[in-house]
Amino acid sequence: MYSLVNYFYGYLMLKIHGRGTERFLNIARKRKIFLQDITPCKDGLYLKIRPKDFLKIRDIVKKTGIKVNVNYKRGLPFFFIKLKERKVFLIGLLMSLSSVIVMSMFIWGVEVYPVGDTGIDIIEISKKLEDEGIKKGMLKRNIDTFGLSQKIMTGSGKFAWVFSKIEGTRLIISVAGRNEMPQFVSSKEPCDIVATKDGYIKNILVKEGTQQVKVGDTVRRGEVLIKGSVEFKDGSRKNVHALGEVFARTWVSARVPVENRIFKDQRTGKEVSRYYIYIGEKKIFFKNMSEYFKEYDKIVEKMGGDFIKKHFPIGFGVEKYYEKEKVEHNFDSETATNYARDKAREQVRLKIPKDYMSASENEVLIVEENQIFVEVIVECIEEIGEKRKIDPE
Amino acid sequence: MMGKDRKKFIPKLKEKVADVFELPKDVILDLSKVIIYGNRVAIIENFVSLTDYDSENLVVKTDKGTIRIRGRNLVIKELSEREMNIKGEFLDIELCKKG
Repeated sequence: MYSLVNYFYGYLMLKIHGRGTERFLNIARKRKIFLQDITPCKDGLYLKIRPKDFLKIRDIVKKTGIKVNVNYKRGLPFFFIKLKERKVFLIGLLMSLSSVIVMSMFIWGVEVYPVGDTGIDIIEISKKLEDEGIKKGMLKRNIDTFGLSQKIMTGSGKFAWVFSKIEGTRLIISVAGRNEMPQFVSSKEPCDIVATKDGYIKNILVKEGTQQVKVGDTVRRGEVLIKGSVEFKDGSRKNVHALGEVFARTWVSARVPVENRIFKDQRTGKEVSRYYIYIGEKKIFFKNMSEYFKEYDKIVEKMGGDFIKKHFPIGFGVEKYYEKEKVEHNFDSETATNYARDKAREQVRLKIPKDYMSASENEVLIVEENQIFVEVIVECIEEIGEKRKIDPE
Repeated sequence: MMGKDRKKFIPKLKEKVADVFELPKDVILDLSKVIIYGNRVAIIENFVSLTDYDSENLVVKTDKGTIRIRGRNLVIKELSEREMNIKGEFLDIELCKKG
């Protein structure tokens, strides 16, 4: 404890020698001078004294006729005195401190986090941010986070909510998307029901309006299924709000060629790592790569980029290169067909509408110009009717 | 009561008061106090002056007499107006009455 206090106040190590050392101690004690670690040695005493008391002992020294040597000085006050002499060091210290403070005044990263999977176009948001004048390296205080989220929000109707905040030196924008609203047609307005897809009419139920197609008809996208006008017996017509459900068979297909020889990428096991330091966007590599692999996977890892949860523009990273080569696989005809079929199925899965009712799956082998294809066709039954306003003529 | 009688009487009264009320005597009678921890550390309070000091011998003058500490590597850790903190290896401690 005392050593810490001593460090703050500082102390001088003195050596006193001569005849009246005890007298010196007694007078110093009476004058409330605080002495510490009084250690006898061959020809005198060592003692520690506070710097503020050092000037006071001059009188006592004269009175007692002893001799005083200063052995060394320690503590914070002497450190500051030293610092005054070491100006370049002081300047460096101040510069490094101020650079940290100045750097933390800027935005060094803009991050957009979509919430949920409602298909948010991040590129659109980043364009929007550019329009608002937000970019890396701008002053933190120039960003009005609340106003920014309001602007993104009001700009387009695609977002349910937008929230932006500044975390350290990063601007973080969380966006929740909204499902696009279907075109709303008021029940009082006249409208038609139109096909959204090509299909084969399976079932049609008209509640209001005039039926335009029969079961078994093939319809094209955009064709009117139920017309929003009624003809009365006397020949007059009236536009109505068409109501009804139209179910149709639709098809989704994918075609994949059957190939006996397939090339697949495979890593050879050779790898090279390049370490580098990055400052902002610039990279400084430790090692120059004279030869690259012909084909490779490249994996970039950054270290130190997130410095205590704060985005920091300086750090180091590593680029790892894995050499790879094409390996030929030969299949017999059955395996090749199965392989192609699996691929085709995968492709079809992606195309199938979300709420189809029932489906049958067919596979066809097609030969075309010496090339065999597998075609997978999935038949779905789904509602294809959609309301569309009638333009007043 | 005059002169010498008075000088003797007051300390005696003080001692009696301290006895009756069970008060600490060092405060009432202005006595010096020596606290010793094992043979390593000693604290001397309320002394008059330091008369002799080296690494094997330390003599302190008090109101009632002298205190002499003999030992090895004696170091005064702190010296302030009221008390003295001594460290070292003590061999013997001696009290001598004044006069």
